[in-house]
Amino acid sequence: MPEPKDVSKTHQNLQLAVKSKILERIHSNLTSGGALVASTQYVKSDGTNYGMYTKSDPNSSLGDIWERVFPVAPATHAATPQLQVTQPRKTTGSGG
Amino acid sequence: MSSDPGTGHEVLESSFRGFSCPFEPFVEALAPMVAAEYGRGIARAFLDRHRGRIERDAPRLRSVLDPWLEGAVPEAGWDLCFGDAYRSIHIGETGYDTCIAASMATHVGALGLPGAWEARFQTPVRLRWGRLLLPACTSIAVESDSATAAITTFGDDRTRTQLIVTRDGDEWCGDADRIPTVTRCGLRLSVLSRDALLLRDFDDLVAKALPTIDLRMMGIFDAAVEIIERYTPMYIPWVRRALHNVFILYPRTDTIESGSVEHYLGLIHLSAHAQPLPIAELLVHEAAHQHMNLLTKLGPVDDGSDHNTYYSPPVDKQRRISLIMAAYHAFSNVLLFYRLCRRNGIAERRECDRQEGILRPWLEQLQAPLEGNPALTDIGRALWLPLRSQLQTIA
Repeated sequence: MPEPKDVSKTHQNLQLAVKSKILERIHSNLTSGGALVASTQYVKSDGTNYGMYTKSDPNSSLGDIWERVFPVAPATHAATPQLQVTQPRKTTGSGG
Repeated sequence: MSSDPGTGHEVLESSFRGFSCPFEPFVEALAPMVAAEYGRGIARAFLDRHRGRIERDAPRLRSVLDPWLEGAVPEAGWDLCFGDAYRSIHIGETGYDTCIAASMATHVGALGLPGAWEARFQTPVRLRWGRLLLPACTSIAVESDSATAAITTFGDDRTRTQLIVTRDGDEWCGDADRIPTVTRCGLRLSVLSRDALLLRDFDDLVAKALPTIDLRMMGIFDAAVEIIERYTPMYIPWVRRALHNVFILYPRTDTIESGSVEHYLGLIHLSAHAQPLPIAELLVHEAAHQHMNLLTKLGPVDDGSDHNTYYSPPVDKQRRISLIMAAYHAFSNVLLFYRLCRRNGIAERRECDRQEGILRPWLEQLQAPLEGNPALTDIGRALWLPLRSQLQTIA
């Protein structure tokens, strides 16, 4: 069913306003050279002791990792995509 | 009848408070609108900047992307490719430009925009078509309409894979890996494995992403959303509108990690974990960051005149006022979540009390530099003032 004309017009006006604000912000971001590192990262204390895996354990099998998260039943995988190797290059900033 | 952007600005400015918390009215059309217009704006800048290389490696790609840039498929926007494009513009990356442009084409193609194109890449990549994860390829050819797509990929060793995928409602079906998705309560949260991610320049983060998704983790997500639905149902639209893609990090001893990267709208990451309550908390927390990230696409939270830094207890560091705002916004919503869980009879009452004990002093410290700060903009005030009221009301 088509939208009533006033609802459609409100939507259209809102879209124009959104577009103009966003283009202004994108232009400001891309020309200022800032805002490159803009992420939030939160590490909270867990209080449980569910896993002992560390990043320096690259040969640990995936089954083992999921077994440490879910220590009771055997793992079944929803997807088994091919592994793509990435070389660490730089650490990004964090916030939160 | 002509359009009136002035009226649009009034509606827009009156809607800022909806990004604060789920107790304020939210104009639902706004979130996908911001994501879509942001995606288009970034895509235009990216395609202009890398035009030469993209036209060389994917000469027909612009014929698919241009109609979208002109306004077709308005819901496009919740995809990683726009964050990748933003990063590429900033860091001047050239090795992945065609791949990012092809990701945009598969994204809008899966949303129904027809087209025929091909592209070749310098290194193998795995593109997505809707919730299908395509084989790793160094070149791809696509011919699609809104109902069917013929996709041919060539691997690094010239292995050819031909896929015919068909649309069934909102989903595409075909002989490719299906990306697991959290669907409870209307969510459409795709759980991405490591090789579905590009995230150039975030290599450390990508290295921490799990390469497979265990079905039991999907069960934990489902149980987490069920907790939100049962004890804090007002937070269901909050997570539903803002969370679209997630990748899972390797678990670490005694800690749970989560995060959002500002320019990847709808994408979050969090640690693998066996308990649904902390996952529910992190969904609420990251959805808050995503709301703020959406809103700051329309304007900043402060005018830049406050050059001080302030102590942020959650990260134990000095922070600029904008990041103090981000922390206050996220942790206030988390505290409201735990208070409502406790009020509505969740079994883990002691955990709610423990969280209250941690979060309340944090928020008192975070609130002090926000109170009366003249550097805050209308957007900044709209983000935090409703939360201050709600924390007094829902005590």
